[in-house]
Amino acid sequence: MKKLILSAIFLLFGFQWAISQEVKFSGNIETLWGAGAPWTDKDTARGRMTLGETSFTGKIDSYFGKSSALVEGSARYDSIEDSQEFSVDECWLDYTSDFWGLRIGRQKTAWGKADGIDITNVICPKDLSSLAVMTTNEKCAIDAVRFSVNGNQFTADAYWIPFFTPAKLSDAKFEKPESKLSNGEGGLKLSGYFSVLDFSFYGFYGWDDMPFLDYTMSAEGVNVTGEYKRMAMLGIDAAVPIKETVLRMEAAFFPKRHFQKSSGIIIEEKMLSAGKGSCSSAESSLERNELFALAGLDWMREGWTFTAQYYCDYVLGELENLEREKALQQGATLSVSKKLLSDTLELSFSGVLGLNDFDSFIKPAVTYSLSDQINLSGGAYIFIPGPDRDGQYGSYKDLSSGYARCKFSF
Amino acid sequence: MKKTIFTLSAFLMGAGVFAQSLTGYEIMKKADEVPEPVTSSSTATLTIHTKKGSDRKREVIMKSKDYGDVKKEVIVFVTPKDVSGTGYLMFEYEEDSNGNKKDSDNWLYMPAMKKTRRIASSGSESDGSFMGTDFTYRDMGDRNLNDYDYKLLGEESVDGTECYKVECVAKDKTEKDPRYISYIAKSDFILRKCELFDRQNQLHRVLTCTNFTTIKGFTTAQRMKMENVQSGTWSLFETANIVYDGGDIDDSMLTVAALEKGRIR
Repeated sequence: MKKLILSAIFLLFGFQWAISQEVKFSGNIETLWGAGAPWTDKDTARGRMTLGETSFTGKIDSYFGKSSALVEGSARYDSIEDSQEFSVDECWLDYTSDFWGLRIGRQKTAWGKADGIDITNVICPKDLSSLAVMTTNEKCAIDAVRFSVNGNQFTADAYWIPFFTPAKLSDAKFEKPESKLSNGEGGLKLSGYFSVLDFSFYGFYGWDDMPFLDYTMSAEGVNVTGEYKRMAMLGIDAAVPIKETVLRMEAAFFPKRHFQKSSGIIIEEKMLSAGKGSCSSAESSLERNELFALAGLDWMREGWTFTAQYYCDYVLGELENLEREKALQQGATLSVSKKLLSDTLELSFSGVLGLNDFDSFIKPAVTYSLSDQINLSGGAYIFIPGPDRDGQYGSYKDLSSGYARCKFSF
Repeated sequence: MKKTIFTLSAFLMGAGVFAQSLTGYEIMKKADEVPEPVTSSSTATLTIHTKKGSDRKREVIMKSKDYGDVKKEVIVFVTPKDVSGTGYLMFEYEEDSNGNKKDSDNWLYMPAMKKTRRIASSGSESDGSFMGTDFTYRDMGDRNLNDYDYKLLGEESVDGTECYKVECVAKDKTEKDPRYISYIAKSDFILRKCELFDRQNQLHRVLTCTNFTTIKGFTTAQRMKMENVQSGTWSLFETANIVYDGGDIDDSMLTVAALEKGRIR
């Protein structure tokens, strides 16, 4: 009898739990194929497959009242490299009350109001592991604790990131700083939302997510190693709606940021040190103050979306011995899209123009929603060198590709 | 059309007491003044019927709270799955005593980018299609009473309900459908039907409101169909799980933080 009562209680509570706690499973399957454009190098790129990725992403989202949890993972197969990759993209638990919240675990977040250009968006590292993710400004997750205080018009988010995650690179891995409490990262974001404007202040102290290359000589030749350096950032952004447009601004100051020294200088300094019989102690970087700013404009009307941005990045102090050649680097972006056929067809064009070398990267695309589940798209990634020098984007000219993508969402 | 479709346009109150002497403006003002609940929570399914005969569905969660001078509303997509979690937060301001209305405040949260974006006042997009449907953003939001001239054309029955037939002509001739005829029920001043005419004064779209239900004294059309008679397409807006003044919406839910943290479920 006792067993029966206990079973009944378990059934009752089990039933209540089942109806009150929601668990949702969703995800997508995606295939992306691409080939080198006709104008790329005929011996190394033209007509060769540059993209061959099939992926599955699954997400389980569970919530009960103010508590929730999410896990998102993906499996990818690269047909070109014949390689597979499994990753935990996010995995966190969250408690959010009316006034405060806590999120613990592997999570993604984004800072700033810029589109496709990272100014204050330094908290999650870049994913540069493939052409496909590079062109979408994809980010990696961070293992962090986020504590939030939420008001009606203000929010504050404080992050503690005990484990450093560097940018994900396609073919290189460098030693990370030792995992210890003093090597953690921290971030703070304060935001306000008002009729006249939205604004945020940012503070970050952590590691630059890109490695600094060091060169050492040995009997076999030159060995390349990489190390990560500390970085701090203070930033601000604002979005101001003006009738049919929104004006966006963002700026960041990086005090004493490390900048890569040129390889020739590093090797020369090491050879000099070796000649004098001293230990090779040459640094791979020099510290300089850096200012980064952006202004942009959005306009939307009857299915048209238009976005234009100007950005500039200025390094204070001498550039001698640095890899970087110009103190001021600047560029502009443009994005135009139009939705047609009851929003089932989208034509888009986006591009960035480097104003130092007049090189550019443009992305024309067509996306068609075949059904509520299946999206088909086609387009191109086009890297165009400048008239005199390849420039930042032009240096990828032989990666210019046409692509086709299909995605099933469930 | 003043009562928003988003808030399910039709609310019961103020039966037609002064029926005989009302002008077109007075009828529309009464329709505008039909009481609404302070808070509203519901789910909705939007069916988009294409010219070829296929149907697309969008499911959303909607919550709103009226603060008197401002109405805060949030819509979060449930399906299609590739945009699930995308949320709009809108603050719509009331007209002041001079008939002026402050631009709405709008935010869009995109879960794939983990970012909330400030978007321009809904006025800029007002004649654009709402989520690919035959409804426009203007249909979904409040129309300013003072932006139109009104003329009572007569009386007509809509599905057995006696209605006032009021012509509304936009003062701003650049509107996509600058003239529309509203059929306002004589009994409760709730919209039953609306015919919208394009700039060439040709009938463009027809809205019909059906499946009325009364919850806590507020009458609501649960089914609204907008037919584009020129293109042959139609969109159906069906609401369910309606809760009025249920105490389930606190101020912190109608914020950017709530959107970003996925609190709208």
